[in-house]
Parts: sequence; C-alpha cells; structure tokens
Amino acid sequence: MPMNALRDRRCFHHPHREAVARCPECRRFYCRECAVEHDSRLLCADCLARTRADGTARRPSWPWHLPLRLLTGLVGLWFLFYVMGRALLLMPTAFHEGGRTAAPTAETGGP
Amino acid sequence: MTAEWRKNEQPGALAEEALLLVRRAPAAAWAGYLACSVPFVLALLYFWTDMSRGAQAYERCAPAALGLAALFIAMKTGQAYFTALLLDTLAQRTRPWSLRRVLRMAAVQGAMQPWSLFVLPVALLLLYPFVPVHGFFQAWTAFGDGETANLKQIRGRAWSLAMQDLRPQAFTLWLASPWLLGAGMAAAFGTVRMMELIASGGAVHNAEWFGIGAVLFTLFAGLLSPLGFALTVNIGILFATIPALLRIFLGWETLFSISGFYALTNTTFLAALFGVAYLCMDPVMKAAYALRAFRAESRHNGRDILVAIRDMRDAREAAP
Repeated sequence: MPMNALRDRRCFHHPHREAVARCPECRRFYCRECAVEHDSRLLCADCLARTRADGTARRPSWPWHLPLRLLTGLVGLWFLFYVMGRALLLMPTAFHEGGRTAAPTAETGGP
Repeated sequence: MTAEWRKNEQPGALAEEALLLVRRAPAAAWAGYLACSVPFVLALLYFWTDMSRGAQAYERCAPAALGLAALFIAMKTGQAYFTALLLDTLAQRTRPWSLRRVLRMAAVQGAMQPWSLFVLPVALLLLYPFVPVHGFFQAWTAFGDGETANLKQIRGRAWSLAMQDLRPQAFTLWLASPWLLGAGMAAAFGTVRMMELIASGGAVHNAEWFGIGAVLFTLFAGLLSPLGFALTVNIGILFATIPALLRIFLGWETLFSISGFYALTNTTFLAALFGVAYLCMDPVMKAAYALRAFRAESRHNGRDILVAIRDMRDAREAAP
C-alpha cells in the first residue's frame, strides 16, 4: 500500500482518526484499532468474521483430492523403496560385507 | 521486538530449548512416536538385510517396498502426533483426539511427506536450499496435525515458517538433523569402498581399511553433524560391546561375537547405527519446529502471553 493512498484518508468507522490500512476484501480504509492481521493480511473486523464463517461453512472435512494425493504419495514411496531394493540386490556381496574384499594373505599379514 | 524474541534469535537458543522441550514431552507423545517410528526403522533394517543377502530377495522386493511405504506414512503420522502434543504442552491446552482427526492427519502427512525423500537429497546436494526445504517438511509435520485438511493453508503456513529465521534453523539442523549424519556416513563409507576398489584388494589389511573408514567417518560426520557423530560412536561402542560381554559373562556365542571384526564393517551394521541415531535425534528436530510453530502462531493469537500470565499466576498462588 503506497503511503500516498493512505494520506488524508480517514477510518471508515472513526472519521476523526487517520487510516493506517486498507482492507483488501472491502477496499475500505481503517484505523489502527479496526484493522486486524489475519493469515499475513490486514483485514477489517467484518471481513475477518465473514472469511472465518465462509471458511467454516465451505471447507469440506475431506477435500476430494486428498485421497488421490495420499495414493500418489504412497505409489511414489513404493517406487523409491523398490528402486532402493533393486539397487541393493545389484550390489555385489563384497560391497555389503566390507573388509572381505581384502582377504588376508601371507603378504598382507595373513596366515 | 522484545528482549525474549532477540534471545531466541541466537542460533544455539532454539536447539537448547528444543532439548528442554523433549524432556518435558508427555508419555503419550513418546508412546505415539515410538509405536509408529520403531516399526519403520526395524522394517527398513530387515528390508536392507534381506535385499543385500537374501538369495530369493528379488521376489519379495515389490511387496516389501509397498509395506515399507505404508510404514513410512505411519511413522510420519506418529511424528505429527508427537509434535501436536508438544505444541499442546507449550500452549498449555488439551485438544480432543478422534479417529477422524487421526485419519485426517495420516492423509495430510501421507500427501506431502513421501516427497521429502525425493526432494531433500537433491536439496542437500545443492546445499543452499536445504535449510528452507528441510524446514518446510518439518513445519508440515507441525501444522498437519489433523485440525484441518486444507492442504493449501498448511502449505502456506509451513512455507512461511520455513523461510523465517534461517540462521537458527541452519544451526539446529547442523546440530541435530539425521540427514546430515546420514550424508556424512554415506560419504565416508562410499570413499572407503572406492579406495578399496582402486587398491583392488589384498594390498591393504582389513584392519587398516577399518582405520581409514573410522578417520573418514570422524572427518565427514564430525563436521556435518557433531551431535550425530558423538551419538553414533556411543551407539557403535554399545553394539560392539554387548556381544562381547554376553560371551564373557554368560558364555553366549552370538552371530556378532562369532563374526568379530566383520560384524562392524558391513552395511547392515551402519544402517542399524543410523536407524538408532535417527530415533534419538529426530525428536529434537520435531521439538525445535514445535517451538517455532508455537511462536509463529503466538504472533497472531498472543498465546505465549497467555501462557506467561498463567505461569506467573500459578507461581504466585504456589508461593507461601
């Protein structure tokens, strides 16, 4: 909000007070006491109440895409672990068993 | 900004407070965390051992991977429950739990957390985006507590939290993130194996390879995750000592005591070390993000002030 837009503006509810914010919902100007920060936005009390009421009324407890996203996540994980398993299978035993690649010999201090 | 907030911006303060919060965690939080996380860690170890040694393991790879994927989502649900109870402890409140909320929490976590295993390794390789990306998935655990199924809202809040105060986040991550410990272990192990291949075996004795590996592990893991390094060394000593003690005092021969030196140099031993270290370190990360989420929420609803007032009132009433 540029300062020029707020200059000489008065609060919608308190005409004797200067405005400090403009509600992005109703586009009216409000003073410090009438504007409320909600979800990183400055709203007026009426719009805040309306937003909350709408959110409660409209928000479905289970959005339709949630099971789909859960399934996508599960399939993605399945793929990742499957690839990991196949990679482990492809690695030679010597890789997993460590020091067995360098079997002790007479030259290296073995029997 | 108050003096309290400035103090909390010190990098070490967040990690210190997270450790204190972990000690205050209620028994139900620990029960939920361990009941969901231990099965995944054990299943991962079994999967790792089976795939690296089982003769017919390729037949079981696909169903075992599916089971592991389901257990991963269960683990993330348990961790979200743990974080939600830590948030309730901080806010001094009790929220009701229902089956519907738990299922919603599992769905919300399952919708996002699997992608952390794809995105975080890439972010770790690129280094710079690792802190916010890691923070985003931790914040998702904190905010996806089943209260809402609005993914857009959770994503916005989690991203906002992840982008704030990167310095304390980076310090806590360096101190307590299992990801950096895993990267250090993988780098040390990979380097030793490459050196073994180059030397083509036989030229260097096994004990010398172990020594080189220990030095590289100290270097990589010690730098990347000092707390994880100290923890892993302690767990390693414990794992190596128990079979020897069983043999000395009770005469029990185990696979570990028979294998001797080789028991310490295989990939399953390293995976077991990492699994136990993960279970020790991850709750600290969860506590750190519960603290950050609580403070971020308090900026909007003033909950921290209410808690402080309640504490002062309780202290005054308790005074003689």
